[in-house]
Amino acid sequence: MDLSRRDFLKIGGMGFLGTLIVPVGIPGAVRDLISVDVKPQLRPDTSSMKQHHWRFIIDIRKCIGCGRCVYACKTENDVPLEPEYSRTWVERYVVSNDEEVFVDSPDAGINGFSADHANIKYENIKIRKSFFVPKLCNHCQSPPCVQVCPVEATYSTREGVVLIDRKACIGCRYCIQACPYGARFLDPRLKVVDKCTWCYHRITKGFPPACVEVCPVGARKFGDIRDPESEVSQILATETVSVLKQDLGTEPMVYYIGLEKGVH
Amino acid sequence: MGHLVRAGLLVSVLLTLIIVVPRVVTAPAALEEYGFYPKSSEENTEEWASLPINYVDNVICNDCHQDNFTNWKESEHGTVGCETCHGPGKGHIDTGIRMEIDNSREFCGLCHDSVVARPSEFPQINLAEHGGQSNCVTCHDPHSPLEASASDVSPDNQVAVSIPAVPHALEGREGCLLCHDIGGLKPYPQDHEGRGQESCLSCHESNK
Repeated sequence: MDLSRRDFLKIGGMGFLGTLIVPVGIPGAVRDLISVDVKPQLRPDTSSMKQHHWRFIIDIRKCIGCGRCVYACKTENDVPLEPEYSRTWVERYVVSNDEEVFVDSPDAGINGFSADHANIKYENIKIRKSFFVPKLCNHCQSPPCVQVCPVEATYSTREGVVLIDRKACIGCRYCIQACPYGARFLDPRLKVVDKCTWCYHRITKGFPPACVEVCPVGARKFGDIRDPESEVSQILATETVSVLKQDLGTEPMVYYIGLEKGVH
Repeated sequence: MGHLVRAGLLVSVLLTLIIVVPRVVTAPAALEEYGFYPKSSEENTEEWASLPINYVDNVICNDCHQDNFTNWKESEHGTVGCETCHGPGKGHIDTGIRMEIDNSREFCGLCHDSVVARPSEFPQINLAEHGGQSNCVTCHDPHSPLEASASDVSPDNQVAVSIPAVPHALEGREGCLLCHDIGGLKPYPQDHEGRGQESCLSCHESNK
């Protein structure tokens, strides 16, 4: 076949133009696939809660390690009672005079720390200070778990609560690996990932999360920082707060009062 | 030349068909709405929001239990929610089933046993020693812990009453007056003034 350079470019150019026409005449689905920046607007106004800016505040100085929060969380949310499946848990930090840090969390704290072994364990350590640190999903504003999910089964709601779509989750556990706070686990019954929802079913009905409801010393607080009258707003006006692993840039929405160096 | 143009057009059409047809035929209808992956977050968010609650609110308890509520609210336990000790109230409200109450020493010890890391200003006891092995509620009214248990208060009229039995075990106690001295948790009756401590057990017996 005889083909001059000019003709070759002509034909090639026409072919190229032909492919450009294609997107105009084909279904929207395909257009979505081709177009880079068209994303379905599926961060819906699910409720009147969209205006809320929730914050969860934990006062480490107040926590007595009774573990009622862990129990309440499991009862409220039908979470298996075994400690490895915990949406919230309580850790005990013991810092020695040599600045050695010991951490324990027997049964995730659900039976408190009253057992005999709990004191014996630290018998031979010169304790400088010790305290309890309740943990839960930080509902990060920049959540690594959402970023890594290959099927977009986890997402942030408009008010910033990170939820899991249990029908979409394929149980690949990438998010469990990605979460720097260890807040996620695989539900042994459904084989999908589970974690704290801040009791989404409660906060959307105007109740605080179950762990906040039962905390006997008010070490856990939850509320809307957009409401200047809310308890969290009042606390934030006077207290110094910090977050876990700030250097990771995950922007947690769980704030801690009295957070000690070395707590991670 | 003309055949080359036709060939070019044919390639364009074929390319289009190769891309478009499989997409249209194989992609489910929802793809247009949701994109590649199930971004059904709206529905899912609603689903999470619609789950039933189990822990109700203290205020609801007050609807029926005003007596306990008032005592409790003003006591040292006033910050402790009803459901912290009694468990979730939903079933009780819906069906009237009795709420299980854990009266064991260990349960009170969850908060009040002296363990490493518990804030020092929080009231703590040595669970192994304090008050023998009786249940805490024998002496302490859980709705008002610094007062004696309501069920256990001696009647004002001491005269006609036979000698009350001691409602708790006696082993391991330092002495009766630790709790029963004037100003103590449950003081001895006024007419006992002047009697020696060692004489308590010559009249009173333990029924435990």
